[in-house]
Amino acid sequence: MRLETLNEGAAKTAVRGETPTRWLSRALASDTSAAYAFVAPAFFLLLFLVAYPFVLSLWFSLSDARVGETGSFVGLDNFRRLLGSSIFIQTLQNSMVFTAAALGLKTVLGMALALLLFRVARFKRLIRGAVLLPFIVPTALSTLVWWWMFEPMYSVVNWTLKGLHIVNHDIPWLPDPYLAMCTVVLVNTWRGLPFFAITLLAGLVSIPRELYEAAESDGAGPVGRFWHVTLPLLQPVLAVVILFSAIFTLADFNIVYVLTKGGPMNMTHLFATYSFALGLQSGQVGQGAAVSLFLFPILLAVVFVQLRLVRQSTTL
Amino acid sequence: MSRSRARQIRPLFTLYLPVMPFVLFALFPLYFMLITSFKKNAELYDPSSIPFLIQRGVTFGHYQLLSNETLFWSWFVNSLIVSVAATVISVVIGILAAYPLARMRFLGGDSFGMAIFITYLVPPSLLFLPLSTVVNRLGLSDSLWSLVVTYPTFLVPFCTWLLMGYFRTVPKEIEECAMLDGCGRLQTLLRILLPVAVPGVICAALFAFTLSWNEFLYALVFVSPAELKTMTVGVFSELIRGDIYYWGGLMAGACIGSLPIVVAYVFFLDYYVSGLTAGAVK
Amino acid sequence: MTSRGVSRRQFLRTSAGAAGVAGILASGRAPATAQTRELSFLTVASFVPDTDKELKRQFDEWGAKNKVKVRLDIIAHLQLVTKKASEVQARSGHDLTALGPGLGDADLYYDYLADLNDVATDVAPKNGGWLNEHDYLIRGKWKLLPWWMPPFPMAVRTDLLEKIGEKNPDTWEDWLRIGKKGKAIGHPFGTAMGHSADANVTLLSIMWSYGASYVGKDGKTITINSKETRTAMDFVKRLYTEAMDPEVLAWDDASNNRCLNAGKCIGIHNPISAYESAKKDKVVVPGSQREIAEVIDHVNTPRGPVDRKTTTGYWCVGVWNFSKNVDLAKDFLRYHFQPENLNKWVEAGHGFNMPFLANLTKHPVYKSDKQYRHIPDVAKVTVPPSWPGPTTAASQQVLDLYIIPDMFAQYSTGKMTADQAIAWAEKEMQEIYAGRRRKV
Repeated sequence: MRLETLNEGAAKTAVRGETPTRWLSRALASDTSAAYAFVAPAFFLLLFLVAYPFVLSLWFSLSDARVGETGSFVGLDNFRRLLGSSIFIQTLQNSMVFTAAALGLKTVLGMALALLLFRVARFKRLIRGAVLLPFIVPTALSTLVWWWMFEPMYSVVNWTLKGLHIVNHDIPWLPDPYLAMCTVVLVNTWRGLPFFAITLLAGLVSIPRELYEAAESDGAGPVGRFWHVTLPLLQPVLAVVILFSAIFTLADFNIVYVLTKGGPMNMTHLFATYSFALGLQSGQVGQGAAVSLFLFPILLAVVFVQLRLVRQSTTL
Repeated sequence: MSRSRARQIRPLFTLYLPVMPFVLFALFPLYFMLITSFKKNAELYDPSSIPFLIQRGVTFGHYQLLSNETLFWSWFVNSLIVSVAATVISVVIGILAAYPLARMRFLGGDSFGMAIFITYLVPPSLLFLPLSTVVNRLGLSDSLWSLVVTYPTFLVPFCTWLLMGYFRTVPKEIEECAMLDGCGRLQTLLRILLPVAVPGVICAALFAFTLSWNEFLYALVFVSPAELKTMTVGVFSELIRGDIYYWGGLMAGACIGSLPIVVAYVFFLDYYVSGLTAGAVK
Repeated sequence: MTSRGVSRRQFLRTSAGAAGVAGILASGRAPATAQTRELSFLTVASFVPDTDKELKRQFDEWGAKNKVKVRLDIIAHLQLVTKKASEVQARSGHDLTALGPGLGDADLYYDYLADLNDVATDVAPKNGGWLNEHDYLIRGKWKLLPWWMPPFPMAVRTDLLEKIGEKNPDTWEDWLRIGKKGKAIGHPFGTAMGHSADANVTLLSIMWSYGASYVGKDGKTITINSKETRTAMDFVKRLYTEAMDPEVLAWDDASNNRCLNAGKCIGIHNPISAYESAKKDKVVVPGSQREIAEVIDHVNTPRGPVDRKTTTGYWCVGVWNFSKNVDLAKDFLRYHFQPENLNKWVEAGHGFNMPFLANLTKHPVYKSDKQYRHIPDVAKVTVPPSWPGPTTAASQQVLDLYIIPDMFAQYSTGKMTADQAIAWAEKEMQEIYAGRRRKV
């Protein structure tokens, strides 16, 4: 039905479309040159404004550059020194814990929320909109709110817990190294959950109803339907969402910078915050670059493999 | 009779009740932001007062502070100009790049698609240093142009990626018909593919707008004059003074700063979801 | 409030006019004409907004006199780091720039800062000379002018002292005792021990007071591993467990202000900003009608068994050597550092911003409020954080990575023994100093 109207539209426009863009059409007649012409703006933008600075950053990580200097080549010296630094090892460990915990929470909660949102009929827009909000308010400012909420003295969280007589003393959310990690994970989850929920919801919407009906007639209960229909069909979406989120979570800067500055005792430093402290505050650009590029080769491999898999599963 | 009652009540427990904690979790910090922005300082800094409520009267003082004693509205307009411009540019470039990547086979196409994704792996906390050299050479520092030009670096990859997925979902036959009727690639894209891909385009635009509106680092580094700052940077530089934070004012800024995005999403929420449906999935 | 609001608005309008900005919606760039000279100045938002206003007034005045178009840009101090780095990287940006906190920028950006020897020698005699000239010379040169510091006295709640039967304390041991008694009645002592500038300041003060330091006079030898450091660590551990709440591990620079103004802390080691904002906001002691500001007193920074010393943020000003207007910039510095201009500027800052010039420490503003009476005394015992070593990029990096607070925190929380914590800090510091040695 929809296809037919579209075809009609196409036919009409085809008749109309003989005028000013004609010369362009001719120039673009060859498919390959058309393709290159279309891709060109993106290509040059990324070449000059991403690739060039990126190559420079790579160079920095292999040099003893300081701010403002190009530095001279030192091989893998920066990386070697990092591996000998207890703060960096701590940072590495923190980043793994942070990313794994936040990603796990976001995946599980995001899936649960998506399944719920899918069934919500009343106040649908209202609820979906409300749930999406944390993702869209400016991070720089929303992180401040969280800080204000966990601020040792005025913490509304502690106030509530004490008011409900769940605890009788202030919980040291940010002073305690482990709780501080929990707190930054929580805030990251708050911010990233909507992305998971809405994208997975989008995935759910696209699953054909018939499959569920078929499963139901085969006697599958709600749990069985989830395992045998929903999950396998959501897998590609899930893979892309997790990949995206893993990259952004691993590179998180704002939350830690605002809440703890990497403290207490470096227990919440992530790559970005430690790289900032080394590369900018201390001017050791080379070492700072090495910190932020430390995982680059591994990530590159993961992304490469993952994308191949996703593509194969969707094109087949 | 009772069965239909049960059918009405059951979702209350199995659906709306479980959704509530999520909604509360999402909204509480924002609610807190809102009431903080209306609280008088004396109440705000009194640890014995109830943090959830405003008990000693509402004040618009923080908003007045923002709009009378800072250039808040100029910053707001700057943010708007930059975000709209960067979004338009990025979506256009994204559409152009996504089409061949999704539909045509050409040498280097696959690698380029991959390269676009890999730009996400480049940490922005690092990129800005070399980029500041580039911006300076282009003579763009201290102008809003510097942001309009640099924001697409992180917007184009996203828009391209999303639209690539979206274009793949459009049946090939439609396009082939048009080509048979003598349409060139550009016309096919503009007249056939785009109208069908509206939700994807809106989704990409919303995303791009949000990311530009929230951007902080480039806006800080590339633009210094007070009257050219963007909203987030401006609010930070005027309301954090040494070891004193003007909490009320910061929260007021956050509230007004969130409004345009919230409005945008209210209008386009459905497109957003359906745009993601196709875009992110394929 | 309203009159201030209006004046601020006018100020903004005139400033926009002066900068020659046709409108925000215009091209976004100030039209650069060949004839007019331009000078730009990047500074950090002062805690007292009037200070920025006064600086702006002087800048405009100087600009009008010399027919130079001037532009003063203000950013939050946390963002200065990023801004400096990108301007140096691009070799472009402002002509004059605030530097700091700390003198380390002089070493870090040595190759990008214009020599200010002439300006430094010009302005000193008129102002009674620099306080400690030697501290400010980096590799024998004036790469920046030390501009202002917020001295760190101790703020104390007099009403609580009465309650626990104590008088104004003077030594660190006094503070431990008072903090203990205070904590028992819900009013602990408070000093940051996390990743914050205040933590560096207070813990260094304690180290010096007990005879410890982290780097030797030669600026190379790491001296942290000493008997004195152990004594200081034991003291801090007692202070932490007996006189403070664990929340201090997460404090930022603003937390102690809040602790005092919320009526919780019995005392804090901090610039007078806490008192000033309590006075402005008319914060009252919880459960009473008395204003916090009325029950606060400020006393000298505490003395230890060996010494009485403290440090603070050394805010500085410098001129980039890639600026096209080095001479103009120097000219403005001379203008700003004239006694009458500095005096007005200190006046506007209510004594928060103390210049490093002898005459200015005797400014009448310090007699205008009894709270300020000890500030000149504090200034006398204030030294750069690297004391007794010279300030270098390495000494600054030790602070930026919060090695000292982490060392104290690891011992105080029982995560490490004293020896382990010191060994850890020693290794980190040696790495930093070794990595900084220039290979020329």
